[in-house]
Amino acid sequence: MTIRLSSAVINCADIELMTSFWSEALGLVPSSSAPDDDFRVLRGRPMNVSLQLARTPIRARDQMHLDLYTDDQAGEVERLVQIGAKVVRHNRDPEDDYVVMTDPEGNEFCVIALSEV
Amino acid sequence: MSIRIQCLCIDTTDPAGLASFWEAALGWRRTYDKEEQVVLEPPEGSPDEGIAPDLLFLRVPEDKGGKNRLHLDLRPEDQAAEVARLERLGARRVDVGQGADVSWVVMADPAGNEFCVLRALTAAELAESG
Repeated sequence: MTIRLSSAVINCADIELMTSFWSEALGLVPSSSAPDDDFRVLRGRPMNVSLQLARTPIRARDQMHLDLYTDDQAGEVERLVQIGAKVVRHNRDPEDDYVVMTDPEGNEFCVIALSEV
Repeated sequence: MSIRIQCLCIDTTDPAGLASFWEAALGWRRTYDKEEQVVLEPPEGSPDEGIAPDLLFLRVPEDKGGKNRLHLDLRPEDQAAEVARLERLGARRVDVGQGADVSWVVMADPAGNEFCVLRALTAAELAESG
């Protein structure tokens, strides 16, 4: 058995908008900037995030999402808002503190304080 | 900026059952196993340990709705053999409109979550990626 997790792929409608947001959000480096790209890898650690042009509408909450860990939750949430994310809600349970956010196309992800983990 | 992807979270009505599929699919290990949450991590000592995000299976009441916006790409050394093995584990091939001439195989796990098995890297690509 030789198979490895290669990339998390996000379907998107506007690949330039999403390239800009996710590259900046996670410090990833786009593999290409060709205007007719329908697939683009954003390279980085711990894994690549890829963007795939698709017309799948966001119909319901996705079965999959990313958890982002940070040692500066408030600072990162503010930075992510400045580059186009929105805050959905802040779960302030001391045992389970996380901020639910959406990227510019409405995909949910969570920002979790490292000290809470 | 100090932020990283730690987990890929997968909502499911059956965390233990769906985790069993992915445990076998990737050869990962179960590092947290509760009714509401199951965590898989890469094998100890593997190149992915501490690098690849954990897979976190979260219990939710509802079944999957439409096509997922987020999915996993898997890189095999032998695409045909891996697709056959994953089918034996309970995955199936699905058509999401990918067409017949693409180099990857689109599959769905037992809960219907789409994922792709890419083609194997060529020797030149492997050398380049280190």
